[in-house]
Amino acid sequence: MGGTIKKYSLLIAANFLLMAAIDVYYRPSEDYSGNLAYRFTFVCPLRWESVAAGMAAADEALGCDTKLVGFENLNESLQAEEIRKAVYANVDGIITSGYDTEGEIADAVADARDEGIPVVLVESDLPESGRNCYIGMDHEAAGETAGASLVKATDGRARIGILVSDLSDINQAERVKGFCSATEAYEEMEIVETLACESDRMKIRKLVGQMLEETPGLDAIYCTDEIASAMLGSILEDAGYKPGEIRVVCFGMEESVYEYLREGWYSASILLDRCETGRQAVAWLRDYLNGRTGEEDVILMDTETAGPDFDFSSWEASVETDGEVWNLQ
Amino acid sequence: MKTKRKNGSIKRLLLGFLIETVAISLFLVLISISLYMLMREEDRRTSDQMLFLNDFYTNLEEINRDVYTYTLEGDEQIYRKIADASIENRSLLSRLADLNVSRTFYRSIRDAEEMFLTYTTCIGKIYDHSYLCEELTVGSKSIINRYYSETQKVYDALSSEFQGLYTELLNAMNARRDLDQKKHMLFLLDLIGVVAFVLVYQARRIRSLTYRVIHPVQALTESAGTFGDSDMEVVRYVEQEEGTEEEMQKLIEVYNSMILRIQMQIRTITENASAKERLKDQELENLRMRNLLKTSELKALQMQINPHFLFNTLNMISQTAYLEHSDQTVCLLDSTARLLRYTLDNSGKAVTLAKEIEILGHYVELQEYRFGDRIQFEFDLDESFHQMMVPSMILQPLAENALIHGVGMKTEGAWVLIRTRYDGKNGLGIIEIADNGAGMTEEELCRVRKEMEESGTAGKKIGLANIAQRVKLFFGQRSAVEIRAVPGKGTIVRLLLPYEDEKTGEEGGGPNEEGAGKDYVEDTDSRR
Repeated sequence: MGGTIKKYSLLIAANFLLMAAIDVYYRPSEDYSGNLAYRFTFVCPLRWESVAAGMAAADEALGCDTKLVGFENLNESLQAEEIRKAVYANVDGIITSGYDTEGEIADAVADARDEGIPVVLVESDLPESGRNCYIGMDHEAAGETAGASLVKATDGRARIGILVSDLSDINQAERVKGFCSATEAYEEMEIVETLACESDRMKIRKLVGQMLEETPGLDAIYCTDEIASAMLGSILEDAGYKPGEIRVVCFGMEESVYEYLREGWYSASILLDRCETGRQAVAWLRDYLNGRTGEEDVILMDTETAGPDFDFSSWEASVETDGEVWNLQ
Repeated sequence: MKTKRKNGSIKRLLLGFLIETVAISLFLVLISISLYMLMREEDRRTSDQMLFLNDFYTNLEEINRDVYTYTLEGDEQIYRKIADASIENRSLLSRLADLNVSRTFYRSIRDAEEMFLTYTTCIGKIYDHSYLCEELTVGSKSIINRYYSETQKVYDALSSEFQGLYTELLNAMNARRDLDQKKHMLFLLDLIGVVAFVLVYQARRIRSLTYRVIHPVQALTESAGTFGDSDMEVVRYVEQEEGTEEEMQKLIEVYNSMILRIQMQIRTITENASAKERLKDQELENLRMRNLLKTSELKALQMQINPHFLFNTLNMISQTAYLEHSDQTVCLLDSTARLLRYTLDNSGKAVTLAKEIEILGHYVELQEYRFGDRIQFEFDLDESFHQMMVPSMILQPLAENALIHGVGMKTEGAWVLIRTRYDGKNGLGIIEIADNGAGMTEEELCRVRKEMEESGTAGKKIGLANIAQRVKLFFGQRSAVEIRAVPGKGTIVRLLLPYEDEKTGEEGGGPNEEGAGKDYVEDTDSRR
């Protein structure tokens, strides 16, 4: 009987341990009630997972909390509204993108600045908005790199169509400017058309189709819009072109872009380490609040030119997210 | 191998089993109740969260309506109401923050708290301006409207945040519910596992109990059931199985011991009965033997009396015959007397073969006188081994058999041959009594041989068998008595007697040690 009591005691003890382990394992990992050191809000024009991943890593390392607010489609008014909501919430810092065609973002940034809330712009800059810091690529230099890549791909002879998001956006304009400066030395590099697609998928498909039909002898496309970059390959394929028939140099990196690069549809893609951008944005805000940086700052990140031999797996692993929680608007 | 359980007892076993079952049942009930309470607590927390959030938004809407009224009317009491409601809403937000839903929810609550602070700040601006301006001018109204407009923007943002909070809470609750479901499922599985374990373990215990108690009881019952039905000798012992409870072991041991004793007693009784039976038979046999002995003694006495009477009578007859000058009669009487004396003096003793042949000669002499020329007696003797000792009266009965059963009925040409010869090679003295009489059929011969083989049985028609038995007893297994016969042709009886010639030192002769010196009871009256 003694042996049996011992066995059952062990069973009960083991069972309690097991139940406690189950309880701990299935306790919501995000339970958190402590005071956060800093509250930041990242108002993202879309959903930049890699940037969010960098921010999450920085939050974890620096004891901050960055709220992610994103959109399914570009909408500057909503973006500005979210920035103002962050201002009403009296957050410790705002991170957003300076892609601004209507001036609404700049106004919202100015409002934040008026309330004494530091603003960091990533990817696209609005130098006149009163933002505190810009972290991203040098768009003109990136345009030059793209131009050089296209010259190399076409041996300096091409009729080029340019597809931008919006020419009124200074960052897009700088990309075009840099591209032009890189190709102007080549007499046979001719820019035949420049179209603004406004990152609208329908419009992109329509504009590119028209360009291919109406521009005879088109040899190359320079695309500064990242949404368009992810679509161009399929549009060309649908139009009956073969890989390499029209040289494409674009921006950004997605799986589709990588596939087009690998299959020869694209010659090169200019990309930025967005994860690092997010991490640096959080770190900069924290440093700013701690008085370790100046009032204004510009941090230019190096770009990378991806070709057919791009190591997509490693890149994908480096920007892999843990399923960050977005407040989608 | 038996497992000895020092403290084992059926009572303790059953008590332990009962306690275990009750304890485990209680444990399972406690776990079930705990799980139920846990689920109730989680449901309550979820409903609290929803309640707080709804209260917050209801209050917010009410505050906003009051703000509108206050902006229009500037009523101090309304402002106080707004202030009180604001304090309550802050408290609600704090309580929501303390509910620990999720990190993102907590962050949103913090944002909402700050937004609400901004909102109340904006209301405060309206109040401050209304308070400062004793009379509301167009300009001051414009300023108040601007502040109100700002307040509404914050209110919209706050409403929007509320929607977000609501969504987040729902998402968090869903996520939590999913986790809880998984957790509860695992708890349930755990519970099922424990129940399964307990069932299996208790089943094993029951099995063990069955082996230790019930099986032995069944075995005892089965064995005991055979008591009345069958012979006690076939009542089986109950086997001790491994792990049988100590008390049952003792019971089985006692039972087996009881069975053993009963069987032994029955066996003893049976043996005693058998012994008594045998003793009774023995006593009967002894009685019969005593009767035989008395008869024999009587006969012996008679024989002791008769010979004297016969000898006296024979002497008287012989003297009379001598006086009458009847020499042949004197001779016959003399042979008869010699034969009779030999029979009386040497009955059951060993004599030399020469003496036996001599007596046979007297017998032949008598028979020659009786049968005259009808029967010729011939002797073919090898006297080299006639000094060997043989049982007395082994040849005369054979000669008499030859006369009576062989040539007795033959009217002419009958003969009886008595022949002795020594087979030095095999160390055998061979005596043959042959006749050319009626012989025997194969069946008769078989019967005679069978009687010889079954020698030793007392009877009246076993003369040959008697001789064969005495020869076997005297000389041992190397000796033999053979008989051969052909119907109508004759019969030959051959005695093969082992004899060691003293000159050659060969084996043979001499009585068998086992049989030497023994008296041979013979029944010469009843020869075949």
